[in-house]
Amino acid sequence: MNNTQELETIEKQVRKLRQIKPNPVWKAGLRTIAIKKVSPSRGSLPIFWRGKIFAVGSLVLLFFFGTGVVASSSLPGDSLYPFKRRFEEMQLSALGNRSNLEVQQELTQRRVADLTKVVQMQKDQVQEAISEVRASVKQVREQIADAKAQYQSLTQTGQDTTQVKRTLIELKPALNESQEQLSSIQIVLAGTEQKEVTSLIDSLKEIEKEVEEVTLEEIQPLPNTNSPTRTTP
Amino acid sequence: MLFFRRQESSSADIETLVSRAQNGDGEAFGRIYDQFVDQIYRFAFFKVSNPHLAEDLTQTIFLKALERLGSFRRESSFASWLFTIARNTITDFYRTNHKKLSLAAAENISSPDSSMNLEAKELLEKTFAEMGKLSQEEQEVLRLHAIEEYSFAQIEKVMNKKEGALRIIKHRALKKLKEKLDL
Repeated sequence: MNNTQELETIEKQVRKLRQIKPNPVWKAGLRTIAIKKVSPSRGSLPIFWRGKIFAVGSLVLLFFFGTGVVASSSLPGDSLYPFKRRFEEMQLSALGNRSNLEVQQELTQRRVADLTKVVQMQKDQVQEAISEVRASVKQVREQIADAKAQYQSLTQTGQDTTQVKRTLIELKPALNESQEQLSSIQIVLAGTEQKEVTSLIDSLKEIEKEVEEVTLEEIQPLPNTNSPTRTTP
Repeated sequence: MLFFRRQESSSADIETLVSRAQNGDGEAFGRIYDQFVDQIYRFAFFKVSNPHLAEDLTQTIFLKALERLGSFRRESSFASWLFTIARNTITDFYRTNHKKLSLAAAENISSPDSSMNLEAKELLEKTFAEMGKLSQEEQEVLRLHAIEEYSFAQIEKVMNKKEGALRIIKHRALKKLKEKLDL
């Protein structure tokens, strides 16, 4: 046997070490354990895709907030104004612990502020700005109606009405403020626009009265035949 | 990196299985396991010379691979990635247990060939033991080329040595074994 053949024989012997294998029962057991541990939640997406999703998500957020920032200075009639309104709605809703009514009243104040700016800057979009305020006031009115219905329901079932009353009471200063601001605009406007702003002020006054109907009950309890006769001051 | 692709087609299959496993397909991971478990076990066995320890290490390696599967970025082949985990696991094991280990001889080389006679089994154990006395480099080349059947071109990429040098290392290793093994 020459040297090359001898080495080939040794290599064949080394190759036999390929027979070193784990115990088949143990091997099958570990396979079962491993398969059970695989779940969709474990690294469900490769890093590559997670990275892409993160990047796209960031761009969407950047676009969204970028648009929000740019749109924040827009006024009724501007192309970005709808973004501003949507952004504000989301922003206020996200603040938490605030009722729909409070959010809507805050939005109304902002629409009144927009109208004030349009008038001060002598822009042409007064009608659009008035329409925005009107739509917002209408929504406040609807929310007030809901709050009143809720209050009556709670009263009839003998439940605690403190929260509803508190919300309505806290609304009054904001309603007053909006009325004052609209009154200051009303003076500088003329014709149809002035009439429309007057109508808005009236609407806010009516809303205020509706609020007082509920909140005054707190001060003046329902008449009770057994209670002492109240004297008029 | 120690390991790489044996065949392009099987590597592509593995990459597909890895993607499926990353999406929670247990059976896909099972097939990856089937492909690599013996190699990983042998890799561990060559390092610790003990079947039980090799099994424990193989289990740890696969469970670590499973945990980190989501972070596999395809910067290298899956095999390279898996064997990097294996190498690090065994290094950690040595660091912690170096006093308890005896690397002198192999214990109970498990063989599926039940017909193997005692003489052949003894020769196999002696081959393993003598191989363990070779340098790390010689062992690596023999293991990869003669046992795992990787080509020199493939081993070249992993060991950063020219094919000619690898052939010399292998030749030298076989000559050393020839002197020790009475074949």
